[in-house]
Amino acid sequence: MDVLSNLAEGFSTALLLRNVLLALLGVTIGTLVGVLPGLGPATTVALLLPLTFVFDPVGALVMFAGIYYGGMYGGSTTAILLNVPGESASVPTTLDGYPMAKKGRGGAALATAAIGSFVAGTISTVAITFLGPAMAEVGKMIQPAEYFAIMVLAFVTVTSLVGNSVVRGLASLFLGLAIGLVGIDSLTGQARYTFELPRLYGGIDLIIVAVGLFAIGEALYSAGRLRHRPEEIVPVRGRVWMNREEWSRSWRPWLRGTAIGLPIGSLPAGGAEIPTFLSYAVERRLSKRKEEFGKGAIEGVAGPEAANNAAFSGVLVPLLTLGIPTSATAAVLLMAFQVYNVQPGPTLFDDQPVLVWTLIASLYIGNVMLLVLNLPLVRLWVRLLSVPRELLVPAILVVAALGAYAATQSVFGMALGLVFGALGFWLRRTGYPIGPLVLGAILGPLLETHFRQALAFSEGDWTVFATRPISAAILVAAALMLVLPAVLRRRAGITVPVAE
Amino acid sequence: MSAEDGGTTGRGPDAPARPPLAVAPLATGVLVTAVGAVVLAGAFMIPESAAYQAVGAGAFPVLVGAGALVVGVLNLLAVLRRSDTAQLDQAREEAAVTHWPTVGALAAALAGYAALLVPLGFWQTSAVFLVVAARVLGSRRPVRDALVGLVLALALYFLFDRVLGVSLPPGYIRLAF
Repeated sequence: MDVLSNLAEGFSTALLLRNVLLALLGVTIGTLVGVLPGLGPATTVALLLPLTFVFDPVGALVMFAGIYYGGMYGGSTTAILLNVPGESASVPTTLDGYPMAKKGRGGAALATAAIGSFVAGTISTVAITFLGPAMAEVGKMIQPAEYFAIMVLAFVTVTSLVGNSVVRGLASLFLGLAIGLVGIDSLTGQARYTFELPRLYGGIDLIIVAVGLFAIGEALYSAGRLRHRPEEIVPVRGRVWMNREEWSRSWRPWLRGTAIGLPIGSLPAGGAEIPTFLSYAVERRLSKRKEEFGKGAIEGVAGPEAANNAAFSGVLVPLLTLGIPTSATAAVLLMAFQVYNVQPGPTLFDDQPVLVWTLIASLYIGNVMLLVLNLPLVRLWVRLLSVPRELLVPAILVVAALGAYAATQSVFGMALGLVFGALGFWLRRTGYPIGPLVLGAILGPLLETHFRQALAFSEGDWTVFATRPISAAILVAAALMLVLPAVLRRRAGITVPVAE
Repeated sequence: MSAEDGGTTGRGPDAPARPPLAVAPLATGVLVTAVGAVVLAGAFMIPESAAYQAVGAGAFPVLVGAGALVVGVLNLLAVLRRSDTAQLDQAREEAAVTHWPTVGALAAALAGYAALLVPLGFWQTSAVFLVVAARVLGSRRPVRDALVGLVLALALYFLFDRVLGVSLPPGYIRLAF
């Protein structure tokens, strides 16, 4: 009952006209930017981070929850109509979504994606409502050594499961950890890796890192390929709706996708890539028409889209209750929290009840808004797909420049943004995933805090991580996660493409 | 370890089958290794200031530096041995596709954008940048680009600077606003 009364409180704030408008603004901007080709949810949230400078925390986070979801909905539209996945989690959607569009069933593909996302998102939000407070209670009992181990596990899973090489993922992660070291050490007040530059005493602004790596890096990357890959937009013929057969083929994959995405996403080790690929594999195995897969089977869109949305929602559980983002998008969302000095973690539900419950209530509202935005209005978004690239890329860069400048109110910020843009371009080009870098940069300081606290409790005894049973078990699991995917991949010859 | 791939055995019978060295991934490997070395070296230069602490400010950087160094070396080895086929394939594809003049010109335009942002002002520089960048990316419609650039730049300027209160550089020479 306590949860329900809290939720009711949340709704009472979320339904204030101002917050409803902010949620609407968030989902609209999120969809609008997300639907632009090549802009995945992480890039969308990163580009829009400057908006956090101007709102109060509750209003801004309501808006960013909308942007978070909207960016993902928009991403499925490009996956289906353009064959361009905005992030690796949308890759399965392209496998059957694009063939469906080519066969003239684009409307049905968009409808099953939107309705499936709505179903999955709503079920998952109900789960967050009850799971969140429970996880927070568990989180309060976690000691620094275990916290450290859980974070290592999260790092390892995110790193080894994204992309197709553990070593490259780790390289990206360690670059991120190194970035996180820069600045004044919070415990001793010593300057580290600041190279005598006073501007670096406060650390490298993560908004600049995110804007540079995602937005500027991606813009440079697509600029280099602009003359090479003409994309073909498949027009949507007919209504954006499904016929009776498509409904009956969709609803089970939606539920199965949710059942796969939600638990994996909710673990502090999940992310959204595994569930969508897994859901695609499951649908294919269960289907009686295996031959249709890859040629436009609606199950291949319905399942992964639901799994994606469920995982996206599930990711909010470790983010809010443990402060651990398990996807690049969640890491960027965490930056929005940190702008307001709101540190998600076990005590967030106690310290900021209004904020948390308003946020959760706004997820329910945002899901409904997105369903409305994406079914009747999808044609409007589709027209955005035809914005010429030679205008789109410069426009993204202008917004990115604004973000990098505004983060520090200086050209230094923008210059730093360009450096990270060049880095992002280069990493992308040589096959290194960006996600682990952002995760390392944002979580590194937290990892270090728990590391040092654990050692302080053990009075400097480094074996503390191995002798405490839970910590040791989690670290062993992390070690297995590091090795297993490579072994499995070698056996099965599966590769997960990197889109971000 | 390195003896077998150091190239000392030279032109063996399998030499022609060997793919050429992938330069771009090599550079990334060097970067990661160098970052590891810098972080590790820097970690030892952080003075142990507080005796009451179990571990000082240098302990965690040692781990990060050592980790980056190890991963960087593994990266380099993978590149030198041509063992990471996925990366090799991608490097080959990218090398064939990337149009460097476009990337270079766009990067130069961005550098100019950053340099002129404060003296010229946000909306002025942004509008000019948009036209230049669009041209770099192959647009042949400067009038349309200028219109789009002006509208976008002024809209962003008014929204952020005037409505939302995020101050953006107005420029040394104040035109109309």
